[in-house]
Amino acid sequence: MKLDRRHFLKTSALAAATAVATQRARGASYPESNFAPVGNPIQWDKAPCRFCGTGCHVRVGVQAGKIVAIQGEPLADVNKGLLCVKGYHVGGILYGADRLRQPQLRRNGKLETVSWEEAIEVIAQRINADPARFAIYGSGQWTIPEGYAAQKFIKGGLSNNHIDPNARLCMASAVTGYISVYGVDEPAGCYDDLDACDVLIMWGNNPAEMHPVLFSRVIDRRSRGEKVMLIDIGTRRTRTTEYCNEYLEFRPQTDLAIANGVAHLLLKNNAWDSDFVDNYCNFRKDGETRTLLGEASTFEEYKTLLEPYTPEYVEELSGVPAEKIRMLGELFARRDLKITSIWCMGMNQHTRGTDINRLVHGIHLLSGHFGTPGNAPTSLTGQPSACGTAREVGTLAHALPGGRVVANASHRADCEEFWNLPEGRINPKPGYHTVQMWEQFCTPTEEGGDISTVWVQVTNPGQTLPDLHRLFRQKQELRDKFLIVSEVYPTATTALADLVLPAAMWVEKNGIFGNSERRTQQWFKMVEPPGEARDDCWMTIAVAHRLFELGNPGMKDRDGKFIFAMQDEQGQEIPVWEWEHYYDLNADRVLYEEYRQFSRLKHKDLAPYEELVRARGLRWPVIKQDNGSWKETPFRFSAFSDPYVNNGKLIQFYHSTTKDDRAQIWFCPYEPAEEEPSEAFPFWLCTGRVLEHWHTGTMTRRVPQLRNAMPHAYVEMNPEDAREKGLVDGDIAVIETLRGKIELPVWTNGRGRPPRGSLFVPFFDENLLINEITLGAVDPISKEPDYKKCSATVYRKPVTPPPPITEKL
Amino acid sequence: MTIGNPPTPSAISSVVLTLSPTANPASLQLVLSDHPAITLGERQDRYWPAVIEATLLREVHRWLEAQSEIAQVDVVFVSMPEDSAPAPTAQPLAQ
Repeated sequence: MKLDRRHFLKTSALAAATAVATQRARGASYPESNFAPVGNPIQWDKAPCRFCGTGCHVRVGVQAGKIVAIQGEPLADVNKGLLCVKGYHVGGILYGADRLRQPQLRRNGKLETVSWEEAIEVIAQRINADPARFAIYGSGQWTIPEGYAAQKFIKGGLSNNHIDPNARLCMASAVTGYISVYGVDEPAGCYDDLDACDVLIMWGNNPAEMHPVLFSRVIDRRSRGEKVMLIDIGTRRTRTTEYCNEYLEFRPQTDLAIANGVAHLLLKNNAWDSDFVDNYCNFRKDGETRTLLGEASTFEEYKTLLEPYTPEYVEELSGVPAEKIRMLGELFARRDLKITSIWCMGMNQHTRGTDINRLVHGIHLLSGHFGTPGNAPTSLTGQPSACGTAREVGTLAHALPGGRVVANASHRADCEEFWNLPEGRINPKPGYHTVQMWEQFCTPTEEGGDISTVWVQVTNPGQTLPDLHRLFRQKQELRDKFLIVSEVYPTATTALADLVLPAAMWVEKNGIFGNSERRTQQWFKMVEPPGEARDDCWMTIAVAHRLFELGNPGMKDRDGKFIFAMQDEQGQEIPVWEWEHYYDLNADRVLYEEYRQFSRLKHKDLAPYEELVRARGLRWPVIKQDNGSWKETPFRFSAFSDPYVNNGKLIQFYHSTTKDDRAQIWFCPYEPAEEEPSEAFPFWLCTGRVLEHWHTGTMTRRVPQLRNAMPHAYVEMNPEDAREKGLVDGDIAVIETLRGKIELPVWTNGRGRPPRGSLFVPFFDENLLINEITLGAVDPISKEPDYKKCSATVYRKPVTPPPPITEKL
Repeated sequence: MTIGNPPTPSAISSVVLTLSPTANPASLQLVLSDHPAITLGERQDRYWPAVIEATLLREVHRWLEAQSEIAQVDVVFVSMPEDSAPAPTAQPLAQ
């Protein structure tokens, strides 16, 4: 390319300005002083990564009280020394310049610094005045002890079930899928399936960006010469697609038809695994109304219901060529191949999320691709302890620890016994799920909005809730509503908070997470939190104790003792509600060991705390052996691995909903989406994540390397659509839905390539909040919203001419 | 990024724009992109590299400073057009 002097000068000018801007941006929030103090040796300790549900282990290097280095943990089975780009920078998340350091209370519209004593008093008084209208909104980023403490506090203490995690927004449909198929939550398989499968099918999933270490495990096999067939069934081309042998691009919502099409072919070609089905499966379908357990069906009825789903009909619905549907059917028909399916938000954030989960489990069961290494259907999680805390501790509005539910009298009695509570303390009525909770909070009290105080811990609903104007921003107008937010940085949620509590994060506190493959992982506190930031778990206990002092009866157990009373090894009570004494004992260990006894009902036996300290995570059920050692269980329900399978059985679904050790194969029909493109809104709008940022970017956007790599949100468009709309890369487009509009720069032929008629926008950017316009509709069973499809329109932002320049150029 | 040929000789200025804390980058981008003398680079958090190409740089500089969403305009360097320099002459300058 010929470059004349003027072009050279202009390019150089831009390069120089970019260098200066980059230096300023980096220097602003990641001071060099955070690194490289000399003199003290680096101390290394283990911890799971703070970000996604993969559960990679890292080695954390600490020097002079600060994290100075991060390594992938070579001893960890999950990642074997590898990390993704976020993981390598995980240490930087602690050192953003704007860490919250003091409690702040809003007075006259402005947040003012207050003492912890005042903050705790404000919360306790607020709850004590009206405990039934109080709610806790947490997340899959709660450590297990944090979630357990919050759960015990509100359900066991306040007799109030209004607690839900943001995991409701990301994997509730996986939970209802597992329960309605196997009778118990969480996967049978594990990551070992990725090392053993011949075919890996990714259903609406982009692991190359969202679970890159897991994806690398598969790609590494190819580089070693192994043959692994990768199939991407998706609604847009992604980085994952580039590695795939097959890409099946489907019209949003028609994944239901594709799964039914595969089942149809298995039956039509007499290629289903009759031995497996006869021995281990029943058939199920929805009744008049959709429920978690549905009603019994038969093989004959199942076959009849599937008859319409010919490859040609599926092509008509989905746009996937019939021969590709046949290809899938032929693969599932082969017994010599090991097939693993994985999915994440594409299937879970779906108004038919429970159904599509059921169907994918169903084709694995129908074809017998289940129960041996490499044959598994597995939902991946996006948060580090979505499984460990949200699902196992049961911080969902209907749940109790260890797979119990509030509606079951026996389960309530179990919990009251474990917690030494008076009989009848636990409320049998499920609390509000996430969308209901925020609807009630954002509805005026006089109009029936019966949640008046919400305490948000370790999450950012001001950015992640769908239809944000309706479900979050309305709060601003309601003076009698009170929002408490414990956070590490200012966020879209703290912007509306009445009380902000500065929180310790990750290795600034002890913790335990549970990852996507049933692996429980522990770490110790390594560095001090900044300023007056404190542990979320301590905050819960401190508020509970203040309520105890105020005479709230729920904070007393049967014997009148404080429900969080803790004793050290010498039996001396430690006042853990006082911050200066919180670390006089290991409260994590105390809470975890108390919680561990809940884990046996559903055969999810957790390892003792000391075993977790020694390991890089252990997959439950973890069973004590005759020689005193503890053994994890990689594959559940299979005799070769799971000690709970009875002698003489190869497969046993011992929590079957039909009480006969069988899993359920469901029929669920395809139906159009809640909101389909129309004349006025002719595009599909899909939202999601990017490699560099974790969820709402509150942590990763404080790491300059990650922020600079992906500085802002954008709208991915098909180039033909962009051309038709008169848009080119970098132009500002207006994306409009029935709920509002947002302006975003256009990116075509970028990282993701949506087909014509569809748009993709990532949700990490707090300055460009796509969730202002997403759909609030939820799956009728899981109550999980659909962030992956709604109708939208796009157009170039009308131009306002700049003011005239006095001299003509 | 598109770099086009300007119709007339003009100076080039390399600048960094510091956005105000309340700035909306998306809307500001539209305003700045529509200015014929300004080429934007990739924004780095609050700092936006840009090139001004104009006969009268000062006017564009002032226009940028007048934008409410821009807190500061810093000049990295300026390159004057070759033909705007004094023409070489055999005559000595006036003593």
